[in-house]
Amino acid sequence: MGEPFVKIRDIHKSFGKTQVLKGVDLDVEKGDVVTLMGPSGTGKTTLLRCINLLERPEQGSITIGDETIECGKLTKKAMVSFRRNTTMVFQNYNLFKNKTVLENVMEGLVSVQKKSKEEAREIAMEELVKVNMEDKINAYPSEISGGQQQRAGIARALALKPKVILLDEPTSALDPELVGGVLDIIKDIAKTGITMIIVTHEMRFARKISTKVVFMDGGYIVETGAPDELFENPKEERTKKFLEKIMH
Amino acid sequence: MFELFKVVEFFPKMLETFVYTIWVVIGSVFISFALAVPIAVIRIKKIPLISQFCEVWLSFIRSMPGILELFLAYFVLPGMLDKVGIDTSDWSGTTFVLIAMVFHYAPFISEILRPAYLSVDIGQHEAAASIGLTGFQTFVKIIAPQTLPVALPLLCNAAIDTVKDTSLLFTIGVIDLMGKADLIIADSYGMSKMEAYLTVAIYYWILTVGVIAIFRQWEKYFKKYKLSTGIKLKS
Repeated sequence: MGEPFVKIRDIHKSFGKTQVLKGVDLDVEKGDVVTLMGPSGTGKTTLLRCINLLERPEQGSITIGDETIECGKLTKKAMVSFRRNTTMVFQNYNLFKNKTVLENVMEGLVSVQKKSKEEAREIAMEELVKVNMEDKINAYPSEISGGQQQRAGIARALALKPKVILLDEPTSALDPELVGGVLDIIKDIAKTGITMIIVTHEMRFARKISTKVVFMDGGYIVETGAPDELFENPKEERTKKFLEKIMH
Repeated sequence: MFELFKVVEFFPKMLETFVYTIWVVIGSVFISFALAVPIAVIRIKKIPLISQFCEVWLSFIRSMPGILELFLAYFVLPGMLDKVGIDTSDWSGTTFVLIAMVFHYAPFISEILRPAYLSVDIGQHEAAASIGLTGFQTFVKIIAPQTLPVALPLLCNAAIDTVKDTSLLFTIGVIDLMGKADLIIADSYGMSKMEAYLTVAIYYWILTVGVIAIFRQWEKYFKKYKLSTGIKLKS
């Protein structure tokens, strides 16, 4: 096996005086579904947001495919260009409020990938059918439920065919009865072989769909492993304690 | 004695001035708005020096009465421009009016746009970034369309203020509605004050109602986004 598809090296990120990431290394292979887990406040979301530079690390490097950036020195242009390797599904959906569901999914195709409106509409429809949103395409975000908004958010992220999809606690803001539907969709996407990095607290779900689980604590990656191995036989004491706490 | 037919008589006499006033209002509002956008951006981004300059400018116009700004533009500015070699002797009164209006309303409107811009959720910026939009694309396609509906009610107020500020133009010899009324009164040897002022009042009322109607229409257009998360008003 050659170079990993996503290579994260020595990422440092602070907010004011609080150091959130203290040197994180992570490798992700093409087609991997990687779950980041760990106690709250350990930097899982921050790490995810560093990968698409919504947070800008002070130090470290990130490689996706054949593009590498040094986080210390980055121009705005380089950031925008590097960001186009990934898309993100947000905890709070963050659909564009001034656009319909269909327009939300089409936006990046038209503005970023410069596709024609017709082609963009076709691709967007295809993705919206996948997430069972074809009958809500003309609704504004405020008119649909959280579960529907999140499914549209997933379609928006998929439509651009990024190298990696980042999912930041995609179900934590949903009503319990809507969680299942969204998880099922993510499960289906995971099967298609697209590379995904997910922050989630849905442990059973994580175990089922992940090819790799990463346990973080205190700004470091403590342990990485295949899901069954990490859940059944964690090597590190901190991982054991965390799993005991949440697996009741 | 109040004579209604005189109002009917004065009405068409003031029409030309009314149309002129409309143009002054439209000109002031558009130029001020066009300048207010970059001023708001400068202040939001806190660009060194220019943003401080804009803050001082805003503070200045907030504390100055409109008539003083008009006098500064008309009586003081030509002398200043003369020193740098710009001859203003053939500039029309309207030019100075527009300069004074824009000087006042550009920073004023920026202070309407700034909080409206900041009211748009950070998540909207992040989502735009996450699909690879540039900063400019994000502003034009996502943020500005969500900023405008928030700013509209206050922009409407600013436009109405502009309408009323035109009543100062007569002080620098530009014939506005008030000036025209005074001319008509002088023509009738001071006999028709009430009718003349009533005619002016009716014109201002028409203008203001017109401005409000235009903004209402605009607000209605944005209603489809259902951006408001506040209490629901009965429709």
